[in-house]
Amino acid sequence: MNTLFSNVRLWMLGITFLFSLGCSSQDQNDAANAPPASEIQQNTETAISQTDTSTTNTSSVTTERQPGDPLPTISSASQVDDGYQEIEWDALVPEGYRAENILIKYQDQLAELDDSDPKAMELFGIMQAEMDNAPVNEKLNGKKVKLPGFIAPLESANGEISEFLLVPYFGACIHVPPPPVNQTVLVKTVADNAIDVDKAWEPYWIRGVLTTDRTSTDIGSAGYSIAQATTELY
Amino acid sequence: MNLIQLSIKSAWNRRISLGLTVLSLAVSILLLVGVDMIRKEAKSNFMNTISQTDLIVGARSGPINLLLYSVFRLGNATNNVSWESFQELSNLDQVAWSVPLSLGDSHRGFRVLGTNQDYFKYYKYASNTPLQFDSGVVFKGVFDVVLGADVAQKLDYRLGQKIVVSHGLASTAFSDHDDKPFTIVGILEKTGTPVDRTLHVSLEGISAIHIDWQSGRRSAFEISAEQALKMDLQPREITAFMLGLKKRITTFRVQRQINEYRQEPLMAIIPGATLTSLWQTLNAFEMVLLGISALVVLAGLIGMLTAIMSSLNERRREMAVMRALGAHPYHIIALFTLETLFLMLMSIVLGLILLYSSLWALKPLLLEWMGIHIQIVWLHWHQMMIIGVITLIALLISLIPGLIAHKRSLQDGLMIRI
Repeated sequence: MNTLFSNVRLWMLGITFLFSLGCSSQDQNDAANAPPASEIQQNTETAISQTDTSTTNTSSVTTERQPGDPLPTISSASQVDDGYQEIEWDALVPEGYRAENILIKYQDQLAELDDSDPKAMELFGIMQAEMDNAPVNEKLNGKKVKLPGFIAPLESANGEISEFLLVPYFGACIHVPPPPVNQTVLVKTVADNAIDVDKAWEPYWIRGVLTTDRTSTDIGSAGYSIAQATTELY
Repeated sequence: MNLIQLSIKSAWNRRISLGLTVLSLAVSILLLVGVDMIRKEAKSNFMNTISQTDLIVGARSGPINLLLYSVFRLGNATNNVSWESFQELSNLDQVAWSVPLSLGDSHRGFRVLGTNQDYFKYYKYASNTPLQFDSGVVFKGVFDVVLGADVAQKLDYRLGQKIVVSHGLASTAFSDHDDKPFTIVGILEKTGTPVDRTLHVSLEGISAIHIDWQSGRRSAFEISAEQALKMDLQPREITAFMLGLKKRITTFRVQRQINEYRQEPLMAIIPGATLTSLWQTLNAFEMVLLGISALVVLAGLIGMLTAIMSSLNERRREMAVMRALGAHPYHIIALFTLETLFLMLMSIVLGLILLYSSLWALKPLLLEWMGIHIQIVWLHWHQMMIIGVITLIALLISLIPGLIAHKRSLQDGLMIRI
C-alpha cells in the first residue's frame, strides 16, 4: 500500500511540476503581472545587485508615482553588462558644460530688470533657447550603452510601441518643462522587443548603440538616438 | 494491448457523453482564444489609427478630447484655432509640414473634414502607410469631395455623383446646404481607421457652405454656389492641425512652445502618447471580457470533470477487471489522465477549427460593424501558452477521478451489487 501511494505521489508531483512550469513561464510574459519581471531581471542581471532591490520598490509603488519623480538612483554607475556600458543621464551632458553657466552669464543683465519687465521675459526666452541648445557629448557617439528611463510613445507596430522618446523623468511630457534635447533619446526598438501599451508608463532599461546626430545644428536639434534598441522593464 | 489503445477503446464506448464534453470544451477554448485574438487585433487597429504625425494642435481642452475629435471624429471641439496662429506655428523652424483640419459638419451621419491636399500626402496610419485612392483623385475645386471607403460603400455612392453636405451633425438634417452640392471626385481605399467614415472637402468648401449661415441660421440672402465661388473663401479659423517635425527629438520643445503660445490658448499633443493613455483607459473592458472567457473555460473543465466522474460508476466493473488481470493502480490513474489528454487534444483541434472558420466567416462583418480589421494569423505564442495551461489544468483535475477509482478496492467492482 505504501508503494502504491508513493507511485501516486510521483504522478501528482510530476504533473504539478509540469503545471507550475507552464504557469511561471506564462507569467513572466503576462502583461498584468509585475513581480515576475524582477525574476527575469534577476536571471539576466545578477551582476547588479542594487538594481534588483530598487526594482521591487518601483513595482510596488508604481501607482503612486508622481509626475516629475526621478528614477531611483543607482549607486553603481559604469557597470558593464554584456558589452553595454551602463550610463547615467548626466553622462549625456558634455563634461565641463553646466547649465548654471548660462544663468551666470545673464545674471548681471537680469539684476537690472524687474521680473515683470517685458525685457526680462525676453531675456528668459533667450536663456531658455540657449539651454535647449545644450550640446551633446560626442564621446558617446557609437558607444554601446544601457540607459534607464521613462518613455513617451511615438509610433506603434502590431499594437506595441516601437518608437519613443526616452527621458529621465516620468511625466516629462506634460507637467513640467520638457528635458533639454541632450536629455532626450529617440529610440527605435528591435521588432520583437517593442513595449506593451499596457505598461507604457513603467521605467525601462534601454540597450543599444547611442548615436549623436548633428546634421542640422542650425536649429539646435542635435540629439541622441538609439536604433535597434532592446528594452527591459526597470 | 497498451494503455493508449485501451483508453481509446474505453472512451469510444462512452462516445456520446464524451463527445458533448469535447464540444463544450471546444467552444470555451474558441471563446477564450477568440477574445484574446480580437483583443490583440483591436489594440493593434487602435494604435494604428495615426502614424508619423508628431503633434496635433487644437484649442485648449484635454489631450484625449483633442485626439478624439481630431483623429477619431468623435465628440466636438471646444473651440477653433485662428488661421493666423496656424500659419505662424506652421512656419516654426522645427516644423516640416502641417495639415489643417476643420470639423463640425456631416453628411447623413458621416463626418465631413475640411482640409487641404496635403492631408492625403501626410496622413499616415499603421506604421507609415499612406492613404491610397480606390478610384478618382484628390479634390481640386471648392465643391469637390473625396469619400472614405465606408461612406461610399454604405451610401452606395459612385464617382461623379453630386451630394449635399449638412450643417451640423445630425444624420437627418433639416438644414441641408442643398443649394451647394458637392461632386464626388475620389474614393479612398479601406484603411480600418476613422478615415473610412469621413468625407474630405477643401477648407474653402467648408467656408463656402457656411457663407450664408453666419447668423446661426440661414440668411435671407440665399447665395448660390456660383456666387459663393466669387467670394473670399479664405478660412478664418480651423478646428485643429497636424504637425510633422524635421526632427522628432524636438517634439517636446515644440509641444511646449505651442502650449505656451501667448496669442491664443492652444494645446499640442503627441498622438502616440495620447493613444496609449486612451487605450489604457479602455483596457479595463477587455480585461473583463478576457476574465469572463477564462471563467467559461473553467466551466468547461468542470463539465469535463462531471462527465468523467459520472462515468466512474459505470466503469467500476471495467476497472475491477483490469485490476484482476494485473493492472497496477497507477495504470488506472494513467488511464484517466490519458483519456483527459485525448479529450483536450480533440477539444483544442475542434476549437481551433471552429475559431479559424468563424474568424474567416466573420472577418467582413467585424470590419463592417466594429471597424476591426482582423488579420487571420497563426496562434501567438501567448495564446499557445493559454491552451497549454488549460491542458495542464485538465490533466491535473483528471487525477481526481483517477484517485477515486484507484482507492476503490479490488473487490468493490467484482462483487455483484443489487
